[in-house]
Amino acid sequence: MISGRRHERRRRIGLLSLIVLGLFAVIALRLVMLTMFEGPRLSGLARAEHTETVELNAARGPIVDRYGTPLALSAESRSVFARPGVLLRRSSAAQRAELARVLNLTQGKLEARLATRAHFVWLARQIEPNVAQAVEGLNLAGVGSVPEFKRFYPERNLAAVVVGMAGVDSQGLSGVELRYDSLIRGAALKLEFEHDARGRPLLDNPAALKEAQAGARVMLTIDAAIQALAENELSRSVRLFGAKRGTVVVLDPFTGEVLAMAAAAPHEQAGSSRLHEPAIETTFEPGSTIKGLLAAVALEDRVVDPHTKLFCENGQMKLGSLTIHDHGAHQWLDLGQIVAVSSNIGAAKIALALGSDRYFKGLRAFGLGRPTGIDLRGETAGLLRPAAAWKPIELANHGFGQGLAVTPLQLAVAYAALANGGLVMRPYVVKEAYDPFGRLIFRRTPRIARRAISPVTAHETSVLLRGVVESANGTGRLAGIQNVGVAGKTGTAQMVDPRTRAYYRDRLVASFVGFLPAEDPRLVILVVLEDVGHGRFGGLVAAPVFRTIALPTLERLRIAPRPAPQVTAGYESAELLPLGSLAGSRPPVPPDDRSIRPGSGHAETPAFTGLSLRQALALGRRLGLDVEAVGSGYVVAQNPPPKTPLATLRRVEIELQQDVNRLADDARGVSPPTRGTASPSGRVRGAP
Amino acid sequence: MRTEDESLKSWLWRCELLPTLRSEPWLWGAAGLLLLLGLMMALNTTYFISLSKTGAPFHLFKRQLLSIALGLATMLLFARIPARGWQRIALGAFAVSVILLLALWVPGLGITKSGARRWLSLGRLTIEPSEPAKFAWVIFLADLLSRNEERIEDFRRGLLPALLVFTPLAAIVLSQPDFGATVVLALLLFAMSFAAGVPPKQLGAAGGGLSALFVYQAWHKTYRARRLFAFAHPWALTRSAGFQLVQSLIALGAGGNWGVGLGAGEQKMFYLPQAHTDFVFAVIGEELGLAGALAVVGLFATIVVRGMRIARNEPEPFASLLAAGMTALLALQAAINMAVVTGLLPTKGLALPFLSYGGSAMVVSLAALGVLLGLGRRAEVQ
Repeated sequence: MISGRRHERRRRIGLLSLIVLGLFAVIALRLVMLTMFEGPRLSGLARAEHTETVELNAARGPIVDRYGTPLALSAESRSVFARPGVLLRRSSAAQRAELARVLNLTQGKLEARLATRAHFVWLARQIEPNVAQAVEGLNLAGVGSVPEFKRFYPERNLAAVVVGMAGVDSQGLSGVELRYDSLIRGAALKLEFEHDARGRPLLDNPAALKEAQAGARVMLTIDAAIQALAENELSRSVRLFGAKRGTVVVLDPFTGEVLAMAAAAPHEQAGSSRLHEPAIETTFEPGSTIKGLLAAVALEDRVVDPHTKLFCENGQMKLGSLTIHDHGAHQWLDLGQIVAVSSNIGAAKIALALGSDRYFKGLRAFGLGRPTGIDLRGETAGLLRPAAAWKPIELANHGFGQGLAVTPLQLAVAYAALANGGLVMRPYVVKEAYDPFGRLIFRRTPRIARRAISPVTAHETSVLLRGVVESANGTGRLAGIQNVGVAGKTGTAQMVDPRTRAYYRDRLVASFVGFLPAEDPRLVILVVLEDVGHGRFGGLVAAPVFRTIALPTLERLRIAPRPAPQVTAGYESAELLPLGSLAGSRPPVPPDDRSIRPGSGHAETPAFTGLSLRQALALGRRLGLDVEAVGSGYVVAQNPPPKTPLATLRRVEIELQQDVNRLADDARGVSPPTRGTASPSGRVRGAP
Repeated sequence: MRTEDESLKSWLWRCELLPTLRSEPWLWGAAGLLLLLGLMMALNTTYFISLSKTGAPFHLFKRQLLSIALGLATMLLFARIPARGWQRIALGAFAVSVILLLALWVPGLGITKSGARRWLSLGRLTIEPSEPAKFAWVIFLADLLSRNEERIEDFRRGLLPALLVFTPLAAIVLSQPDFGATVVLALLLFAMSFAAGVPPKQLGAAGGGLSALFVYQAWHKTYRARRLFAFAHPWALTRSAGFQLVQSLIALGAGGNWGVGLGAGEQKMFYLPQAHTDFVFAVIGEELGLAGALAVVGLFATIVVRGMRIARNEPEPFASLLAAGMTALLALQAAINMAVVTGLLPTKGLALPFLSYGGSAMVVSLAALGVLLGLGRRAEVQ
């Protein structure tokens, strides 16, 4: 019995140990499965938890005009970050209060930013280097600063509609900044933080950041001088004529290069100019400017020839329920006269003779109703309804530019085709791009979109269009320039009330589009003034703007001898551009150039101190030096110091600081301090 | 003339250290390896916690060294006590352990940490009474069950008395509250009753009843329900209740097959709560990988095999049950702890014998090992 008990106990203890060993086996199996099947995911989680990746954006590449004038630059600034856990553990409230004071934050705001589970927060982005230095001086664990680059536009709003803008995280938001973002942005540097590493991480290698990662230098087709001229003339006439908005497009007809693209909208919010590109986004009814294209299509299809005479019904023609009016009572006019006096009745008759299909196809060939394909985002196609939908009355309306809509750029590109022997070019704003080492990344070659008309037709049309400007009764006489052949067309369209879809009686779109010299066109200029009042005809308000832009531009491009000064009634000629003289083909030079010129015997670095960034950049450009700016405001230090021989030098670093007093002085017209005086707070780097 | 060497040897012999060690090399070898590993883990896991809490990085490690020394002395002492001796003090030891448990409620003696009154402050010494209670419970059960061996199938003579003692004991322990210790006490009751010959039907019925009670307890205390939910869906609560388990799994996963290297783990740096106590196994998995974790499982399995072998070979019912109980005490706690760390069981709050930081558990584990070694040596002598 007892041995039976003992035997049973032995059996049961054996069973018990098997059960326990079975538990261990399950645990072992679980361990194996965890490692094999979930290991990679879990170790990924571990890495994600122990390290934080922060992307440091590289310096965005500069955007320059076709002669190298910088329109967008990046200056080194610093951004202060914190690792909240470390900072809160290892600092006292008083230390944090001091930090908040240095950063110019309220302590509440600072603490709010630190109250997070994140391992990394920005405390201040893109601040002055000396502020970051002061923060570093506090010597707090869990706080550090890294170099970041701040985008700025040295010519302020010049070409803003083309250049666009970039956000604080180095992302392109509009314009070239957006379209070429991947090129301009460069490669961000990824930094990994180990959380429990003590002390501040060493992320500080701005040199490597600049050299290895910086974005491409993008060269525009824009000529800053022409752009400035266009912007100034446009905004002046917009103000003068009370337009809601104005647009100017200047193209090189042979290549499709955009030399200038300006917009002025005095009533829109400041700053939005960087976000909108009216030349490719807004549409308007072309009105009479379409007649140039109508004539070209009609000539190409041999519906008319230049000598065909049409009866213009003494200024009134009934077509079904519609009555078409002309500005004068004309009888028999040939094609040239119809275009010159802008007869709606003549245009309607030509359109009716052409028929919907051929007219539609012709306009399509000129690029209406489809995007031009310019290298910018957000282009609209305009409105060109299919020919099948046109009623006869609408066909007539299309003849004088009603019932369809174009973007300013579309109209300019179509006229560029007339100037370019009938070839429609694809317009573009970026000419070349270079990597940070100056090597060419790409060079844009002109691209032909399609042929719209034959060279012969193009020539015949340009003769007709010269009549608009040069004949005694032409509507575009105010665009005329002595000794230079100008071909163009005026347009005055009534705006459409979006609610009633009827035309406003007294809200007009006045436009002029033309090219010159007519015999050998080098420039296409389009001027559109939207929403001008009664009587503001294209020939009266837009044609003079065309002329004031064309005159100095011809001179700048050395296309024609300077014509004798000629003041057209009621409108003075263009003033000198703020950018500098347009007389030379060299890029403009600021007035304050310290009279140092290469090869003049003063082969030494000049003193940059006291100059504004713009002035410093211009000075450097003139001497062939790369100027690297740190900070913003006025130059307080430079490296190498003044009077260093220029022979071996390629680069000058300058440090700038905002100085409220100086700014105030400047505003009162006090000149900057004399050379060599650094501001008291300035840190002079590399002083001898 | 006797050499120094000989005199030391003779002294060790008289202390019965050498005979004890000679008789059960696998048992003490496995425990010794675990102890060594535990020492390294204690050094490496307590460093940061100690630094952040006291400013002295080795403060906790030194305390652990002291506990181990005390534990080893206890082990040697207990290895010399024969089975008869244990049977004689069974009731008294149990009574003392219950008194210690009750002393927690004496104002000024019990220390409450994070909502649990588990630690008894005796001067500079802090002990966790539920640890010696487990030890005394094993001796008490071995005595009780072996006394009634003849009529063990009779419910009223066999299981009922044990259950009658267990119920107030469990109530006392649960009142701290210490759910983990209660579970261990219950499992010891079942394991030892089963070994003693209680019919499985009775065990099943009692087990069902107790489980129902535990489930009620779990739902009654919301934090336990939350733990249960967190156990079922740890990834849904990575920031709160599931945090510990998720961090534990991350540690195991980060270790891979061979680990990131001893001391190189990062989870112990405040990511994994209780890295030095209940979750030391996760740190082993991170630093020594699957290989290290499996080795630990294997060492515990060795202890089970050798301990149960002593129990099987023991002819005396009391000694046999005592050996089985002490083995079960070590093995069940190890199994539960590792199951929790690998996410197989909901979080309990149980130490891993020989490896976790903590004085009471360390001394009791070594004491249990001492009892086993003593029984093993005598089994061999007979």
